[in-house]
Amino acid sequence: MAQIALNNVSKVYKGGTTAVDNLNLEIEDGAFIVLVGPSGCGKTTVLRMVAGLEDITSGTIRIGDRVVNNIDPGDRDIAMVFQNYALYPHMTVFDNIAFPLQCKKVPKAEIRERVNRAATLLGLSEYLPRKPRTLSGGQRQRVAMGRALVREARAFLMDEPLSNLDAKLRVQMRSEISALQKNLGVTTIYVTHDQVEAMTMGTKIAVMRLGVLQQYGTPQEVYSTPANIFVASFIGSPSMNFMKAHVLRDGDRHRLAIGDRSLDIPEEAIRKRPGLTAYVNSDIVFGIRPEHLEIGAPTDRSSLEARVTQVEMLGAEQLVHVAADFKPITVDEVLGAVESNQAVSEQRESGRTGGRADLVVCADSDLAVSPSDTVKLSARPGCMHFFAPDGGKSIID
Amino acid sequence: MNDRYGAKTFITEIIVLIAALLFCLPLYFVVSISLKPGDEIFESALVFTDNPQWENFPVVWNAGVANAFVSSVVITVGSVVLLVILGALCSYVLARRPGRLSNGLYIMFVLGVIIPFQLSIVSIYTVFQSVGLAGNCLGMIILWVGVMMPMAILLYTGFVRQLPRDYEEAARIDGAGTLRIFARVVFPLLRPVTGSVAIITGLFIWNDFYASLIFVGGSEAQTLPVAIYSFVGQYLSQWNLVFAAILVAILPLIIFFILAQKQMIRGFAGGMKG
Repeated sequence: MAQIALNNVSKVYKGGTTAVDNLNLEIEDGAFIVLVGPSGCGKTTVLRMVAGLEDITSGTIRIGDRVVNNIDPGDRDIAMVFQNYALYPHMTVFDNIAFPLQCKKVPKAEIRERVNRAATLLGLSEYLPRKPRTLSGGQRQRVAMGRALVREARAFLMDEPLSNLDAKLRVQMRSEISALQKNLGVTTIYVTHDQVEAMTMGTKIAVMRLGVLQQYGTPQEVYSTPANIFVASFIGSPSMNFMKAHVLRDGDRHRLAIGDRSLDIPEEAIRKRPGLTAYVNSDIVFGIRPEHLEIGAPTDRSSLEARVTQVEMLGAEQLVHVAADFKPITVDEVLGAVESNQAVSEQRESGRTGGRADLVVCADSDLAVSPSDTVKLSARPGCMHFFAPDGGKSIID
Repeated sequence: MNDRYGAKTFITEIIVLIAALLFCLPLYFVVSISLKPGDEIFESALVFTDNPQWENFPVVWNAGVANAFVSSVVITVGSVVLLVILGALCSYVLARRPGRLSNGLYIMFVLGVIIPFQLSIVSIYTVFQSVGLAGNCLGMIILWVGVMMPMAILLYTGFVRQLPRDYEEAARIDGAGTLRIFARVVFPLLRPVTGSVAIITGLFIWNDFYASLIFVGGSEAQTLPVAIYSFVGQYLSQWNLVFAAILVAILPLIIFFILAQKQMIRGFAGGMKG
């Protein structure tokens, strides 16, 4: 087991493309950290640099007490699970799992014992004589895990290991990997673009965008106090709703003017985010998660009015899509990044409908709403998010 | 559902069958004539004999074909084994270490496929003779490894470039060195293209007459095509024996093709199953 530290790590490819920009990350011994971000954000490059499969342009990577910048992958004492498992197709499951031990010239009897132990742990004992092509996706995934854990490596690196599995199996393997990691206590870096995987598996999450670390914290921290509008939009499903708002002061009270309606800002929110007072009489971006918007306003004075456009029943809850008559805003506009990642652009595409903002509300399934209804929306106090209109940084201090 | 096998399919099958029979016709002639008694050959060339002469085979076998067969096997197997090992190793480096040197070398090899080796045969023969490589199996093996290497490199490099790098990267993380990665991981994955390389180069070497006549003609190491040629002069009127010798020469190829045809087709298709 080992601590992993990345200090000022950058990766610039030939031709000048910066894949990773000045990354600093401290991963505690035994932690399960998830690198998450949209495609092309540099998360896999980070993992490959830690593995030694990619050279580092600048900075240092430490595994334990050793700087490993110039150490071969095989000598870093790490194990990696690849997206497509990379099981050697011509070898049996036994030989696949045994291969790292054969490379280390471990005695045959010990290899057999360790492979059998790993196979028992992963429920693979009966498949040991079979070739990978005869196994199902989930079984192949387990073999890849077996190959990683038979080495008793100091760290596990996993590159989207569940992305080739169907939804049901993914949920099952998600909990199996988490449980296995907890049992073994091996420091693990897990790469995914799936924020549900990130939230459910990681003890800490590192959110990346365009090669830059956006936030590093526990799942709860990243969810409830996102560092910026990108993290706020990326973490959480459905994505956070954003609105252009104007901060007003009315005596001791603060209000948000959104279109021709307004919302009270609770005192608690001001205490938590004293920086908001600096934006009085200025525009900000107001963010609220679908699960923190409520249909049926507590007061006429503090509510938004919107028309229901679509209702998606999910069983336990329903997603109510509403259109409100105020100016929509997208994450890309706030970030000022035309080249901003596609995933977020697509996520926010629904919010761009002329002079009308489309919001999503997560409501109880027994609430009676149907398209064309006019509803009043209120924000749950304490769950409001405020972002600077220029750059999208979260307004806190 | 009955439309699945209609008149159109039936006619297509008949045409394909006729084409297949046409391709088999030369083989039929070889088998048929090799078994005929000497006096029947010009009387009824197309008809299979009622009186097959199996002793034709021991006759030609003992009249020099046995020696030539051994030489052909040694030269072909030796050359193919070296071509496979060296060609795969070389292609692995060319495909996995991109750069000016690799590209330049690859272009040189491709040129080697295009330029006929017959152009340089005189200079090669002069060098071989001066170093004692003319007239023996070792010289022929070295000659064929050189001549056929561009073809092997062309086939192998194309295949290696298609191989996902994940296998090699996984092996590197597992602690394998370059040679072990090649031997345990990459080379087994090259099996389909290895079949193609072995068949293409093996067929060419086994059937070659021109280079074999120049380098080993008249020597102890002469190969089957050269031996059969010398046979024609000796038994000009005994075509049944000549054809028996030809059958002995092509039989190993037919057996080899039957055994390796799956690999060959997969190799040409360029695909790889996990």
